[in-house]
Amino acid sequence: MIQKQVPIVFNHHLAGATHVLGFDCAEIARAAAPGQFVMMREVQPRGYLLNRPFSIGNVDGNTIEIYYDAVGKATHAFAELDKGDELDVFGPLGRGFTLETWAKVNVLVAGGIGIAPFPFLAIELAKRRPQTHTVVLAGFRSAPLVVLADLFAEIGVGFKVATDDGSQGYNGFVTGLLEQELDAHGNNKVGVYACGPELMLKRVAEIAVGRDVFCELSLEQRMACGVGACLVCACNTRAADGAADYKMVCKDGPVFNARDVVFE
Amino acid sequence: MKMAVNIGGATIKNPVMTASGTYGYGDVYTELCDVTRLGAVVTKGVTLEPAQGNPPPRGCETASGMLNAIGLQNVGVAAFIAEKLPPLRERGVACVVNVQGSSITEFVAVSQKLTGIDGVTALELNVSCPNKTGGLSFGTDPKALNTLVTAVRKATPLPLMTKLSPNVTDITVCARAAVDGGTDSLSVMNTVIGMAVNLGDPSRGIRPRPVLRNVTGGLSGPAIKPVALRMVWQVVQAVDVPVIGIGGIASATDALEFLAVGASAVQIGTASFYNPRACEEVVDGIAAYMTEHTVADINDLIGTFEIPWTAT
Repeated sequence: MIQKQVPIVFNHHLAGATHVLGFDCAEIARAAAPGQFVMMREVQPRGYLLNRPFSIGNVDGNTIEIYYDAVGKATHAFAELDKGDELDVFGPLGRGFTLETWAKVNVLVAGGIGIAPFPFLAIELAKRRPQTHTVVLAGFRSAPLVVLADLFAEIGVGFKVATDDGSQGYNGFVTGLLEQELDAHGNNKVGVYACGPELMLKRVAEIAVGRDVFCELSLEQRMACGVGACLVCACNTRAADGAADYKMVCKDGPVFNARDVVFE
Repeated sequence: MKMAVNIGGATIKNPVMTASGTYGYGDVYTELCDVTRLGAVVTKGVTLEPAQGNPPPRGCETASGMLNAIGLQNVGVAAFIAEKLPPLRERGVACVVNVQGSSITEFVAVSQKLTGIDGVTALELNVSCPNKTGGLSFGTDPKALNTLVTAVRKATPLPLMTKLSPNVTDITVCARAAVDGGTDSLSVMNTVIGMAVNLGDPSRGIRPRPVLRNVTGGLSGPAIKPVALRMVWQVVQAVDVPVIGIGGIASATDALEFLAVGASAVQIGTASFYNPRACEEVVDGIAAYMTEHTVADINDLIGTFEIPWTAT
């Protein structure tokens, strides 16, 4: 884990509220694993105080790529930054995805900006487990909001879209697409990785656990520190003895086994 | 240059401490900050038994600050002594243990368990946590506060700090009650009770609701600094024990303002969340200020505040 002021090398709008930002940091690039995150804020924050957590979207040489939606004060401010501006960043943080599983097929389930950690995961799965097949199932509200199709094609993984309004791909929630995908494969050969809104994750967990499929969820929670100091980002999990147990999304996660997470 | 200060019987090498609940047990920022450079680490509140804390959401950002309702999640005093204290002791870091309980009996029991343990520099009685049943009631009732401090005073010879609540009409009344009970110093102040509202989405039938599951939480960060500075100033004038300033301190300038109005030391909290090196930077900044202004002893800066005009 390091803290550093780093230069932005690109910052583009993709679609809807979604942007991609790249910054250079060799130390984070060397240490990062899929599913981990960084804390970021402007060097001189405009109208906010705390760092914001972002999934590491990809690592290209020394450049860390972050996919984010401009939806709040901090992220709107990020969207205004240009190449050459600096960010205050620390990371890599948290526990990422498990890459070594028995699965032959890796199903990556994304809801909206929940797609953020998956380019990195897809690339690392292809590198480390070349005999496996990877498919990204991505849910968006509508066709104009679909992002990263070209990138996943370039990486060489499958990419299937679900839209809430049926304007592209599967008509409905991405969890419907997940059920189709699981029906098409033998359950015991599939590993599911999911990131997105809590309701989506809850349904993904129900589907995967119900079919006894390996499944990891990347959770989101408000954070202040990112390292386990503030204890703000608690999530409800189940301990080995079945008792309720608050874990910290920043330190114990953000990736958890779907069996361990307790949804309300 | 002398930066050591004496806080009611506990000498620490400089006046910069972490604030309870913002630095774990001194173990969370070790990769980013040299904890041995700090005057002391004040731990997360320690209770008799391990505690899970409040359900999420537990925190959110507000204007120039944040709200939290953690509810004292901690490992419990036995695990603290066995697992969390030794690394600090081995590195020579002064450790102030923040003690929490829901009853006088629990405060006394935790304090007794920490007594005689090598590496415990002082105890800070958390009588002002706004997120835990029992905690705040001691801090807002001078009589209950006096009874609590008196009981803990009898139970341990360790230097005692009492962390006061700002959520009272006159903080000096509580300050005197704690001093009369035998506290050696006062830390001023804890977080200010606040709340945040999520407006929901009326078009989808989602009504406005609290952001925090606990509905209310403790406000910290730069937003509360003026309140803290005022309360430290008031308390310093009301009692004769050392006062530790807490509330929105993020820079050496902030810390020096607290020392000027009479604080003998400061604690840094929320600033560590967005700048893990905040405490170290404040130590360096105070030293630089002393060099620039040829101050040989930090104690010569404490309480130098004066009002250069007469009351109208």
